[in-house]
Amino acid sequence: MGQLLTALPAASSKVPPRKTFEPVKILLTLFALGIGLFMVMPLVWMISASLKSEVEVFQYPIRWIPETIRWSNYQEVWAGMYPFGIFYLNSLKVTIISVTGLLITSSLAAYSFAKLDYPGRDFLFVAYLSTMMIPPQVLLVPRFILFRQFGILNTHWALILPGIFIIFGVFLLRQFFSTIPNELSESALIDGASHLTIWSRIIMPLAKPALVSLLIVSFVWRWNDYEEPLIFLNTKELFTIPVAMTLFIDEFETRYSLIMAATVSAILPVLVVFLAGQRFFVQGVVTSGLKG
Amino acid sequence: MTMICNFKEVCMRRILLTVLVIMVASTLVWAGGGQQTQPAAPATPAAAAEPVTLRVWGGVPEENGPGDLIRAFEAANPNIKVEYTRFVNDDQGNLRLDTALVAGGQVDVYFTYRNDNLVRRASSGNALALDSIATADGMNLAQAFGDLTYATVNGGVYAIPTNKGPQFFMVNKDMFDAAGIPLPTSWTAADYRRIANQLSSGTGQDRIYGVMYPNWPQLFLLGAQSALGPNGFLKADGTSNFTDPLFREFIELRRTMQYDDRSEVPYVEVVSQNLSDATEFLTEQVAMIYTGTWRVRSVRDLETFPHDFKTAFVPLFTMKPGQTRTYNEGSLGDWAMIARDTKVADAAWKFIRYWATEGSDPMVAKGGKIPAWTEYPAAKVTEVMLGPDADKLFDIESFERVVLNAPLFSYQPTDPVAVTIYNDMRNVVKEEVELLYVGRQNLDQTIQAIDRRVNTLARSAR
Amino acid sequence: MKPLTQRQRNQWIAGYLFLLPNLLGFFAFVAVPVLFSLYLAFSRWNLLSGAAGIRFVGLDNFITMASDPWFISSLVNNLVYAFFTVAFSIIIGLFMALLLNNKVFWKGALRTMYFVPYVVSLVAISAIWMAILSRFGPVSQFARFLGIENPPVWLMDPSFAMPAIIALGVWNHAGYCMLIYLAALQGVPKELYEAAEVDGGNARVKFFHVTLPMISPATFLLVITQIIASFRVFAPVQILTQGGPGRSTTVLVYYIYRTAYQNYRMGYASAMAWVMFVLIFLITMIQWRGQKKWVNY
Repeated sequence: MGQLLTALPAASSKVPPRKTFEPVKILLTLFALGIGLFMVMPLVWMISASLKSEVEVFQYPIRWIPETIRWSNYQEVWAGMYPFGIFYLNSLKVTIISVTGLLITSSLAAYSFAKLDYPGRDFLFVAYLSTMMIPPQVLLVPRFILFRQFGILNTHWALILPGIFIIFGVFLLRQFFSTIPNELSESALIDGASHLTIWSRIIMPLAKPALVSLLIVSFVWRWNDYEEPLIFLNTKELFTIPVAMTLFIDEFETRYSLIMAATVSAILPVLVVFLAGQRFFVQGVVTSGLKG
Repeated sequence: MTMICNFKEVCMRRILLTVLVIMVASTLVWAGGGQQTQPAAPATPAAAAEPVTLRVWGGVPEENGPGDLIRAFEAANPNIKVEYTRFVNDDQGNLRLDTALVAGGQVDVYFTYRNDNLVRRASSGNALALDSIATADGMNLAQAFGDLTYATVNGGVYAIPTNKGPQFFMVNKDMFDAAGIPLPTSWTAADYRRIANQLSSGTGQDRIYGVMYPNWPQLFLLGAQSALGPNGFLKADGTSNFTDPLFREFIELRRTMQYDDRSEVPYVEVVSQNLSDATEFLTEQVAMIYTGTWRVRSVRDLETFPHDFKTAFVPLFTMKPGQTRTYNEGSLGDWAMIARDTKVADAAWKFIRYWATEGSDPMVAKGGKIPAWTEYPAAKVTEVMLGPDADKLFDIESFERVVLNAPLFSYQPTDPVAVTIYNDMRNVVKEEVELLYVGRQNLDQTIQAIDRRVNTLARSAR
Repeated sequence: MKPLTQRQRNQWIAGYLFLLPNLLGFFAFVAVPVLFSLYLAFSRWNLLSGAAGIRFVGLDNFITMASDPWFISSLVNNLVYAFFTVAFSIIIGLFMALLLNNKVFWKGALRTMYFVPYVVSLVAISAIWMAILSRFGPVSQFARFLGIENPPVWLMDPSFAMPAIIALGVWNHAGYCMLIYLAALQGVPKELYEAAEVDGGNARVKFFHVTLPMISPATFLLVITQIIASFRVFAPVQILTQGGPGRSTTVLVYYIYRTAYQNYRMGYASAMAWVMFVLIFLITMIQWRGQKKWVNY
């Protein structure tokens, strides 16, 4: 723990970066790398399994490099009998629209919950929070019935609309907005700024790391969602990637090698979003107008 | 990522506009929802020339037979167009079919793979009775398909079987030959244990086992149920029958063979390592597997499973002296049913009749199905199912004797209470037998616990 | 009642307007299905009989639950799972975030690596877990090295199955906790550390008096959402143990799923979900009241 404590953020921020030999940093890096290797094992397994024959997939001990590398699994996924490219585009469309909508509506609602005071606010927030606790499995059928009333079954709207209103987004942003000192918005109000201006000019820029983590997390959720598209979609041309994976499940067997080839192909956008987003975590600490 | 751009006033306005559009759109969708109607299904054809669309939901992937079958059907019936929707026959897949059935207007013909689902769907009014339709079409269902107990609900027949699915042991004939063991044609539990022992060898990671079962919990009861027949786990008065010594004997037999003889692959290994019986059998790690006709395809798949031994077929062993019949986990199945609210019942019947009878060739060739139709020539099944290399891969005589020509008696429940609790009963058995295997309780405690819990289940179901 | 000032009135109006877009969607897509499931909790319904087949049965479902051994053990199992998974995921996630926020090389690469278990398929994670815990896998080899002749089949041993599932849950979620903490750490004003340094505070003081309090809203968020998530654990149980051995890894959603999708008892499944809801709600409310003591806004 002692080592870790010295590794605190900005703990040594006054010392300019040295070019000298840093044994502690190297040791910590090696340690961190050890954890990292453990964490990427599943990804390596997926890549390895996606290049194996079906028999090899679950053989133990794990053979990390397949005996013969079978690129044909990828060929079968992408150029086989199913339009995998279309599934990919469907997933991108559904995910991007949902996540964009989620970021906009959640950040507005979160501003309202965190920075504004009005009757009924706390009650509404508790109502919001509590609905997160109902397991989605029991909401599947009620949603099916409801969507039938709306007439959006077997359309992408059945995935996009609920995706925009994931309550977690409001909760997460509300928590982060609360940490932004009220003094900032107060002084802006005194200067005559509207709430919309405060939200857009002060809160949103300061909450970038939070917005980015919401973006990443909700992207992952929508991208991997399986049960809703399975129940709400019938037409094969509308399928998203996770549902399309069922095409590789035979009557009696699951073809894991193909599923893994599809999964590895599908993981790319998630990693891109993560890599693009993570630079917001290194921008350094916020220099707020805080007294002190 | 536009969200995180510099928020100039202009940018803001654009965002607000988007929000507004989304809001208006969703309200419109909501408001319009009430009047939304399902696309009108085509009316019953007044004239034969009027084209009809038939929506069929099945669990077999299109390329494993249904595609070819449908093309042949459409060619023979140019005024009927078939749309095939494939669902995976698991819990979620069945939920998907059920929601579509309940929503109505989406399904004309569908397939049901579990007998309890058949009862559920028929008794809740989601299926059309087929007796009178068949009679009007000049077909005697009992004659054409044999025993239709499982398709009979409240006195009416609601489904026709498209597959006969016996289960049996698939064995490595070369291993039997090498050990000098003749292929059993009928055998007792004692023979079974002895032979499994003889076929086992090696230690540690290299252990070769005599036998392996899939991890289905109902197989903990296999021997007992196969001697007792359908509903064997309930007494006539509807209480638990688990005090019958056969249950005790068979549960103990499997435990002994796993932990004392070490001739059966331990269940805990099968579950915790996701072992596949096909892989273990075809890489010669086990000599016998308990399985069904679907495995024939794996044996033929030499690219995935290169092997050079012959596969033979052995029926279930008997558990008590004088037992003449071994009931089977398998039954007639792949039930074709017609949705109650179909507007095209005539076309639907024509289609399922075709699928179940003269049209079934593609399902044999690509789907590994044995038609339940009594008039389907057995020789054709052998030829099509075992393929051109049959001589090298299979012991054909035992295939015909055990799989094709043996009468199929199923032990799956027919009694309404038994059907209702079958799934929970399996969960009870699974939990209690697992505790026996890991040494948390002894055999007496296991039997007592199952007996007590099944009684509770049966009481609540009555 | 005091008359409203112009500013208060503005706040009210702005508050409702900002909330409105989300609130409408919340009603349509969340609240209505939730209320429908509440109605189902007091009904008997097998889904196939359609909406007309819903029978109101009052408290029947809840009475059944009280003597349903599956429900009771899945509830207990789930509480155990929730406690350990949440605690370890958050602690390890924070540890990772601190490690990566400073003081190591290759931060970007390491961050990505740590996040991987959250985005890969659970089948892959489970497959590795099976391999590690298999009879001839590294854990058993190590046990043999320590002199244990017959190491248990970990995933099928009543004493070890749940810890194995918990460990997998932590592996899966730690990266996510790290992500939230990384975002939170960016919001800690540098001035606070400087002030602490001026006061002669060492690293320990800075951690406990600056960092922890400043990221406490994130901790609160994680505790709540991770408890909710841990009551939704399903796939690892289904893939690795199928609830066994015995009932030792049968958790709530696994049982709810079985009740709804295998036994078609939608009403009973909803009733259990609502009991679970009330339970999580109480836990949340206790924390909500308690947060004033430790959460720093």
